[in-house]
Amino acid sequence: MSAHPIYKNGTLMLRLFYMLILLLPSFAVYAEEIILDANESPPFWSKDLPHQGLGGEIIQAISQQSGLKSRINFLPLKRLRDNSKNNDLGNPLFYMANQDFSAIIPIASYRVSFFYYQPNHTKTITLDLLQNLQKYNIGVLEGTLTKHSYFAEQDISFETSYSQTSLFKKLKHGRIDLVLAIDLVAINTINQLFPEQTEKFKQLKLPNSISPIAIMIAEEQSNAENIASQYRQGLKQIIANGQYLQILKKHYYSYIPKDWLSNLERFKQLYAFDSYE
Amino acid sequence: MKHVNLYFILLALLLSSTANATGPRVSPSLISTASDIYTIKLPPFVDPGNQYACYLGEVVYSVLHEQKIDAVLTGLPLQSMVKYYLLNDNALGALSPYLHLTVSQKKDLIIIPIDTVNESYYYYKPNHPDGLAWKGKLKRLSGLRFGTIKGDVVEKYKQAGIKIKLSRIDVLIKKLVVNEVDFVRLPDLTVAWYVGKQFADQKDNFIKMPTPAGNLPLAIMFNKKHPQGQINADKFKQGLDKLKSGGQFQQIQLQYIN
Repeated sequence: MSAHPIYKNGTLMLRLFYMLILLLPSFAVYAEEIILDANESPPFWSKDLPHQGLGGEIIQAISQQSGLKSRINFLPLKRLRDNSKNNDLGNPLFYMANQDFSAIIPIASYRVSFFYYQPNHTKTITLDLLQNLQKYNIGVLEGTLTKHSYFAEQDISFETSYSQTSLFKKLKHGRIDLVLAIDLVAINTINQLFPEQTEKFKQLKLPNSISPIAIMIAEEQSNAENIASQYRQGLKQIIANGQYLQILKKHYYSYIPKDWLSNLERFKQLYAFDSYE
Repeated sequence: MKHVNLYFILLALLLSSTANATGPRVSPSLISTASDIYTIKLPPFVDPGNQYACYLGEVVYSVLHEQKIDAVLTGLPLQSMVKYYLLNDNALGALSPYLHLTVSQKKDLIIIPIDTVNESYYYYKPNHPDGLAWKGKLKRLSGLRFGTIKGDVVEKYKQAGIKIKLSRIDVLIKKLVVNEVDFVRLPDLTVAWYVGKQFADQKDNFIKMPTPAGNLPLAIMFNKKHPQGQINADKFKQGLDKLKSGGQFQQIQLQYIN
């Protein structure tokens, strides 16, 4: 019995061997597990939610599409901020003051809105309220206020609470006039607390409130450039094949903001600093 | 809004954290009529975390307050982001450090000069015991690593054969010490500020090259494309003139510059 031609041809074998060696680095990128650190920020990131939340599901889909192996590691916020060599997930502005990143890839966004309970007000509240916020008692989460002095000068006062649940209960009972909250968090909190009255809670979308949710690749991450490129490509593909929209629908139902994708593109440009070097 | 499943009930119970990294940041520009004037951090001239206690912060807020201009200084981590908001989003204005705008980019801006400060090249003596000197020719620093902020214009350094290392301003001086960069270019007062904060016991190790690197203009720029841009620029000019003629400006300047 004669040998298969391939075994007769030593040159061919050698070529195949070299090709394999050349391909190894790219296989290494795919094989490496990329650890992405996040802190509990439901419904965007949570170890207790299906797919680890909205952001978690997008990460899974992008990774699957691009062949990357990603794992979300949940840590307290202070530890995330103190660590300046890790990959992060969330709003880049929370991290960029303490860490240089190789790449920032916006994958979603969130909006902050005012919410009020219509039965407590005789008139519809409009965004004109920004001209005279002094009239209102505004509820916010403890720890989210910046530049207190500006608000004090403007005579704008806030009532803070440690939970969204508490804020929306106060809103319903008329102890505060407005709650300032992330739209998705508020929608879910209202649904949970007052399922029969959701229509009575009104939302005033703030025009300057859209913030990005991003994958931030540390400068210390090996193959950072390749990984960032793979994530970007994966995101592009899941947007194109409709998977991205399906994920959004699970969380936003029929309330997906119309300008979602254009904002994503805007954030992509805003954080395109990695091309500078 | 539709009803939620058990997971959302559970998550609502979990919403007790005080702040998280995907959360609201309640700033004046979010919920008031105040417009943003964007800036990067460059202490002691601009320090977004300590806005009322920095040179430009005190000057700008004094004028804004006096002239009743509804605006706030908003710090951003990258110079490229300041440029993006100013040029693409038509923000009300920005402070000038390191924006390096082209003539066409300046076309729709009203630039109001506030001051000018000296910049120098600095190195860390233990890493260069024989000293470094550029003597007005960057080629003398060829092969070395220049540390600067992300978004800086670095073409002339590249042309001189200098390697570029981009970083946040907060760690530039640290990078000199750990020998990740050979020299930096910064205002003298900024180097003094960071060395005082980060390496107070090593002041003598940070050496300024004898030939000055140049001047850094400190200015505020208003955007003509913003609905209030021209009006606020006029008001600001008036207010700055008043601040100068009343002697307040000189007092603030003296406090930070001398």
